[in-house]
Order: sequence, then C-alpha cells, then structure tokens
Amino acid sequence: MLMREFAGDDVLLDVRDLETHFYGEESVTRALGGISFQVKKGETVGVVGESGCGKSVTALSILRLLPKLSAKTVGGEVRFHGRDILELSDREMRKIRGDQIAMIFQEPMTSLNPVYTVGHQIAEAVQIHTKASRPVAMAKAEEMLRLVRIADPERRVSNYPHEMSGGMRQRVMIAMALACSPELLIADEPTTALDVTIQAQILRLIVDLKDRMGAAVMFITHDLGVVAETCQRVIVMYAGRIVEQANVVDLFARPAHPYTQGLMRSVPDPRRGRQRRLPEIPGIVPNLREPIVGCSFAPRCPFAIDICREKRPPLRDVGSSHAAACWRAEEVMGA
Amino acid sequence: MAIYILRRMVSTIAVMVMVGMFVFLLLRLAPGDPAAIIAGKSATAEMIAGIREQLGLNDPLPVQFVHWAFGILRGDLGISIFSGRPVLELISQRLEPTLSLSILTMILSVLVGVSFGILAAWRSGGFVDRLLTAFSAFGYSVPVFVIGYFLIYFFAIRMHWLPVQGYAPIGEGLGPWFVHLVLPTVALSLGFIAFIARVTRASMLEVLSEDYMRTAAAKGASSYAMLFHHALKNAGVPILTVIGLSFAWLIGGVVLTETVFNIPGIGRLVVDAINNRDYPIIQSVLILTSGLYVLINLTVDLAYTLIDPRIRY
Repeated sequence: MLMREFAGDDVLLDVRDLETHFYGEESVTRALGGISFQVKKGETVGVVGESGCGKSVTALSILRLLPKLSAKTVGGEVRFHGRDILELSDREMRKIRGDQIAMIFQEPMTSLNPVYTVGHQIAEAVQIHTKASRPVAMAKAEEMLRLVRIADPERRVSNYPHEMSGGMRQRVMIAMALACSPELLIADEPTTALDVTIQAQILRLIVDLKDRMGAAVMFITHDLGVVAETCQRVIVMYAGRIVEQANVVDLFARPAHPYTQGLMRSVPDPRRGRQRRLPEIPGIVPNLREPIVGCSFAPRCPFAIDICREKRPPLRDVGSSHAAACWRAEEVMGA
Repeated sequence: MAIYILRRMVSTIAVMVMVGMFVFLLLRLAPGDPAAIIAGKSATAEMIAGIREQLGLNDPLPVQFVHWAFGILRGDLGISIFSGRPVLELISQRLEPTLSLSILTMILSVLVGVSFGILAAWRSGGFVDRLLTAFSAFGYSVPVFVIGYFLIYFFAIRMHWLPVQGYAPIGEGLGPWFVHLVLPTVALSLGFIAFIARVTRASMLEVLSEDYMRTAAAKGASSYAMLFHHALKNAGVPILTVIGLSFAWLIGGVVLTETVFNIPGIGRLVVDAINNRDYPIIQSVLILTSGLYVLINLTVDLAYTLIDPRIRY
C-alpha cells in the first residue's frame, strides 16, 4: 500500500509528504511532519490518535482552511482526482470546498451561524455550487433535512440553530455537508461533543448516507470503537506522523506499532468485566517545537532499543496492506 | 414583543416627565427671580411684578409645572425672551440646517466607519489596520474646531474648492446645499468614523474567529460572502449600539460645528440663547433633544431583534 504504483483510477485522494507548520511568537511547531496516505473512492478511512497528534490539522490542510496568519502547509502534495489542490488558486479551491470535498466539524453548538435559519445555511451551500434559485435551494434544504431524519422538516427548515439540540444541529451540519453530494466527506470528531445515545445515531446516519451517496469518508476520531464500527481502513497518527496503517481487521487483530497497542489497551473492555485499572501509555506526547531525533514514540515505548532513539523508523510494509513505522514491528506483532 | 414596546412607551413617558421636571426646575432654581431675568436689568419693580403675574409665577410650583408641561404638549414652547417670538417658530426655522448636517454626518460616519472597520479586521495587522489605528488616534483627539478651521483653510481659502462658511437652504437647490455642507460634515464625522470603525473592527475580529466562519469557508463561501453575509450580521449588535450612541453625541458636536462654519441651526440658536439667558429656548431644546435620545434608544433596542434572532423581548 505504500507503493505509488497503486495510485490507480480508484484513488480519490492521494496525500504525499504533507507537512504543516504552526508559527508562534518565537517557535515553529511541526504539526505535520510529512504524512502520506490515500483514500479510495467510496472508502471509509479512520484517522485515530490522541489530541494534538495532527488529525484535525491533516483535515484542515487538505481543505486549506488553516488559520492564514499562524499556520502554513510548507511541503507535500494533496492530489484530488490526480490534481494537486495545494497549487489551486483560492477561487478554484472554493469551487472544491463544500462541493467535492465537504467537512463536518466537532462542535455542532458553535459551527452553525446563529443569525441565519438552518434552511438558509444549507441552501447557501447549494447556491454556491449550483445555479439553483433560492426557492429551489430551499426545497433542497428541506429534502436534506428529511434525509438526515429530522422530524417535521417543513417546519424545521425555518428554525434558527439555537432552537435545536446538539444532535439536531449535527444532523444539520451533515445535511449541509452532503447537500452537494461530495465525493469526499471529512468528519472531524463528529460525535465527540454529543451525548452517548446520540453518538450512535449520528454515526449510523453518516455511514448510511455515505453508502447511499457513494462518498468516501475520512473519519477523524480518538475513539477506536468508532473506527471498528465504521471504517474499512485505519490510519494511526502520533506526533504529526503516521505510525501505522492497515485495514481495520488486521489492525485490531495484529497491531504492529507499540503506540497502537497502547491505544487498544487503554480502551475499557466490558467483556473483561471490572478491571483493576485501565492501562495507560506512560510518559507524555513529545514537544513538536523541538526537532525529534529517532522515533518520536521511543521515550514512551516498552520495545525501544538503541536504534529507536537514533534513527527515525520509516513507514514500511509489515503485511499485505499493513504498514507500520517501527523498527521492531515484527516483534511487536508477535508480542 | 408588543407588550415590550408598550412597556417601553410607558417608561418613556416616565422618563420624559422626569426630564421635564428637571428642565422646569432649571429656570426656577437659577439664581435670581425668573421674572427679573426676563424683565431685564433696567426693569422697575412694577414691571417685574406684572411679569410674575402674567407668567403665573405666584402659583405653587406643581401648578406651574403642570401648566408648563401641558403647554408643551399642546406645542406651546413659550416665548423667546430675547426676540419675543414663539420658541416653536424659532426652532422650526433652524431645524433644516441642523437636520441636514446631522443626517449627512451619520450617513458618512456609518458608511465609512463600518467599511473601514471591516477592512481592518479582515486583514488585521495589515496596512488598513495600521492606518485605522493612526487615524482613530487622530479622530478621537483632534477637536472639531481644529479640524474645521484646518479644512476651511485648506479647501476653501487656499484651494477655493468649497465655500468657507454658511448654509444654503435645500429649497434653493441641492447643489449649493450640498457644497456648503461638505466641510462641516467631514469635520464632524472624523471622530464618529474613528469610533464606529474601532468598534466594528473589534466586533468583526471576534466574529471572524468563530467556528461558524470556518463552516462557511468549508462550504466554499467567497471572502465577500464571509465578511458581509456571515460576519457582519453577527457583529451587528455592538455596531448598532455605537451608532445609537453616536446619534446621542451628535448634538454636542453639532453645536460646535455650526459655530465654526457659521451655520444657522439649532446649535447656534442654543449658544445664542445661553449667552442671552433665553431660558424658554434652552428649555425647549433640552426637552426636544431628550425626547430624541429616548426615541433613538428605543429604536436601537428594537433593531437588535432584526439582526439577532436570539434576542427576544
């Protein structure tokens, strides 16, 4: 899967060596240290990792929505349908946003504009990308609300966001993102801010609609349970780099990176009943303002040996469609 | 909503009664006998007594107040001491120049101030933003009469582009009317532009960092749509508030500007009235401007509901 020859017709998004920096007063944070991955048409890919590992930065870099003054994508390519969208003009990029690549954000409570009705906001997406008149776009908005299973869409279409619950607002966000039938939907922790009972509904909704519309989905989450339920393939990120990628069955059966193993152990398993104490990964995430020598996970890694602290491990194949950035991946898988 | 408006109307009446009492007492509490002030320095004791009787000054204060207040409600603002003509007539003669200056100033200040603030926020830290910082320091600190005389000197005396002073009634043609108002309007507007632009910038900056702005960008909205459609309406409440405040402060600025540019408006009328101790004029203008304040406040409060659906009364 690392090999570029596989970049065939069915590849929708091909990210190569993407590197994004954040600029502070006196320091540079290497938020993305050169990541490469692909998303195929209609595929669901999970991107997991703990807070600050670069999941959201990846999404924002792809859509070029990073804060202009403080962040910059300094290297790499984002090939969408074979075309590097980092090279596009702002105008061309706007045509892609919301039309071919759409995004759902984490915070449904603050991600909708409070002074416009939800119908208006969905219709706006339609009107930006099609020549639809306002009444046609509003009819489409109502149809989208029905699609995301909001009861009474005729009435809800003229509601303001503050008249809706968090779950409903996230449904509106989904309706807005899918209004132009995007080929790629990036969902950045779409359920994190919601009640547990609502989370499952929203997940199911995204998966259903994705199947119906044939869109590819990039699921950004820190929740391995979400990945197991929804994704075909998983990318595990740590400290701004991809440390492992595999199809979901392989990843859960034979994690090849010690970090992935650590993540899995720290998920409570109800089948095992009450555990004494949930295992945690010792140590802290490295400071991305300093250059990192060797493997960024080495200081926290139970498998670390001398080479890990001296030389950064490349992402390499450890099985068919299974890659890991670890010098001792084979031993880790056997452990 | 209707109940809210009704309640505000009732409280408006209460406020106006208070203002009325204050203005009424102003004359009664001023040092000396109002009748003696009205009669002038050379008046005899009989003349003063006559005036006292004529004005009802021998009645108890509450009775006098009620008489005076009902007079105002009937449109009887009293008689000018200095000119002997009805105050209502004097004010209505002076209304047109003042309204012209005020309205032009507000239009210019809001248009320029809001656009300036939006541009500064859009490219914060950029050229326009730094220009605004410098300009607002200037606009706040240089008084109208300094700017006014500078403008007169440069544009009227040196360049001969515009008239030095004076006013041309709108009835004599839009051209002369406008040409006479350019310099006073600009002089009076600078401070308001600075004020409105600063608040617009701050309010827009806050809104631009909101999550829903990123949502709008993710939809593919243009910079124009982001700024004017998504951000401006959200930034609207504070902007509307300062525009309301500016209206209230306008009256003080108008007095100065009319003096500098020799415009025969309400401001000049008041200044002359103060010099002549022409109390009926002072009282009437006070009452009218207070009424205007209260009305603008009510309008602004109701306008909030138009821009933010979360505000309900």
